[in-house]
Amino acid sequence: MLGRLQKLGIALVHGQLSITFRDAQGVEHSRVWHSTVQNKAQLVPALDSLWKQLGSIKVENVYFVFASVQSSLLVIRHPLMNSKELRAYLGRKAVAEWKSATGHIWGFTPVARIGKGEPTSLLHLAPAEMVEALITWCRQRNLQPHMALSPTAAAFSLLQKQQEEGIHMVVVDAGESSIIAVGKKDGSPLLVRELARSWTNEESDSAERLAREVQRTILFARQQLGGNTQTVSLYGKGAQNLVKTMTDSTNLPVQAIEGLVNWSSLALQRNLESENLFPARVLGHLRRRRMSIFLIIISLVFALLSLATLLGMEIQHRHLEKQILKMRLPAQMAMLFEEKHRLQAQKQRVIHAQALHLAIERQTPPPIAAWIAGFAADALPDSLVWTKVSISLDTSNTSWKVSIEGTAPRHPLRGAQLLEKYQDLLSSERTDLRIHTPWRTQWIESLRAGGTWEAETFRRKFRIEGVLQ
Amino acid sequence: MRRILDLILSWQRGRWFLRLAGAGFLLIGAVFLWLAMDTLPFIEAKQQELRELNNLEDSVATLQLEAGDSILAYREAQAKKGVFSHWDSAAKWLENMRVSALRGNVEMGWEFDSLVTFSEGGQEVFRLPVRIYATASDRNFETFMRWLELNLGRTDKRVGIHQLEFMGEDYGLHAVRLHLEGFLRP
Repeated sequence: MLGRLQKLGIALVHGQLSITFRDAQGVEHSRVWHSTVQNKAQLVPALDSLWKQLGSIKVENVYFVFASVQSSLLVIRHPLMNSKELRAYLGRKAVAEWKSATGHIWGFTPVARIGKGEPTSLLHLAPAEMVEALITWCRQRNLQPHMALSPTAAAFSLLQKQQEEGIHMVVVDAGESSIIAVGKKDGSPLLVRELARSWTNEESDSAERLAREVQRTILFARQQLGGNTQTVSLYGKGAQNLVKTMTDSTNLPVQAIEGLVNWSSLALQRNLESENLFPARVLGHLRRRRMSIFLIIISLVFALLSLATLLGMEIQHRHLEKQILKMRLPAQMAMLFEEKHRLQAQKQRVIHAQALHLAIERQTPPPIAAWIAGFAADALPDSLVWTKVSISLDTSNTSWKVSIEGTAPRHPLRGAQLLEKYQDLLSSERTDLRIHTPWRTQWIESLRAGGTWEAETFRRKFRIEGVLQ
Repeated sequence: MRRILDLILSWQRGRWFLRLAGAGFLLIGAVFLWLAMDTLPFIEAKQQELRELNNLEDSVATLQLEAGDSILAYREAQAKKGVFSHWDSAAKWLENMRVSALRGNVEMGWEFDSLVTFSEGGQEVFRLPVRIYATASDRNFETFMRWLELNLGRTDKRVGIHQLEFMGEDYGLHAVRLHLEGFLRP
């Protein structure tokens, strides 16, 4: 309805409750509780009611301004020390100064050091009860308590609203009391006074008395700070009525911002860590809670996953064991090993038998000798006669030696023609016989020996030799 | 849970308590995980046993295909096929050849040479050389060829012709010399 909120400011100053939130566009929306809140039993329903009035909003950080009659502001002068030591020192001071039996909360504002004077800090003290109630309320609504301020600390943010550099004074009506703060434009205080009265009191001279206090403060500031206060700003209901009295009294420009001071809005503008009244354990609570939930969930998930893994492994282990038991694995393995060894031995026998078969096949030549003899006989012309034909396999079992001896007709021309024809047929493509001793060689040998024909047959001898691959 | 967490976180030692709780869960998880991891080697071992069984079954199945009883029987029968099982069977085959020769008007004589070893045969199978001398009364080449075809071309024995010699003159062929080789399991 009103957009996404970044900050929520709550103020409970002397029983006056107000609430302000700043939306994503930086626009502030305020609600005021018109009854006085005296205790935590009244605080929670009042807060619930105001919260409902804001509608559907999303807020995380909560800023709080709180003051009650028990709240106090102490000016503490202390030796020069570092921030850690200062915190410890002021913590002890707070315990010492708190007079009530109930718990307390505290914060401090370092005051700008002037010259060589002793450092000064403002110690804000407040009862813890209402703040604890607020913290519980925040937790129930997933809100993070971020900053709790005293009205004095919140009033310092008004210094930042001044237009010009230099020393300025703000006088703020805090209901039961008045706060006079002198400081610089950056919001750092130089001098603070808290008066137990306000101009809204019904006493007739309250305005004059306040003006005198302001005058005295200006003089004191001039004396201590060595500088003049440039402006005086009045904040509160009926502030406009004080302008003339205050101007006459101080001779300074006085401006009045009429209306009730919106402390919850002021809370949103101050962010000095040391002023925070919330206990350190409260800060970052939501983040810690989320982190804790995350870590516990992660740890639980891890533990559960590990447990599931363990159970899964165990189930798998048992299942495997059962399976192995059921299969009678050792017996089956032994049987298979025996079978494997038997088959391996058998394989050797198979290989041997196969090799033997191949060797026998390789060493058994096909009947080539008979084929060649048949072909040579078919091709033999009628006038040629065999006397000896030899066809033998050589030792390497790869080629055949062929030798044909015989006789041819005595007539040289006819015999030569027949032998040439016969030799051509033998070496034709059909046999592929490579002739290395042709018929002519025998003839030439015979001629050299002087014999031309056989004495018995009156025929000429011939010999043809070759190799068949 | 949020309220409980808030209570714990608000407690002074709540953060330590939560850290301890987280650490406890983590520790429990780590112990479970460690126990699970401890079981892993046993599972691995069992799975390995099953894998070994599968591998063994596979190798036995492969060996059955390569060297099963039927394969062995077939291969051994193949290796024995055409091989003379003893001297008598070789002599009988040659006698049959001689009888066949006589029917075809061929006279035949035979003699064995010494057995020859070969590497694949070892001391189990030997080469058996046979020398044959034959004469045909009709001196006809065709008579010899028919006899050869009848006895060597149609036999189931593994017998190869390593040498073939014909002798003759003008009147025809009168003799054939053969050098055969068979295989013998003595």
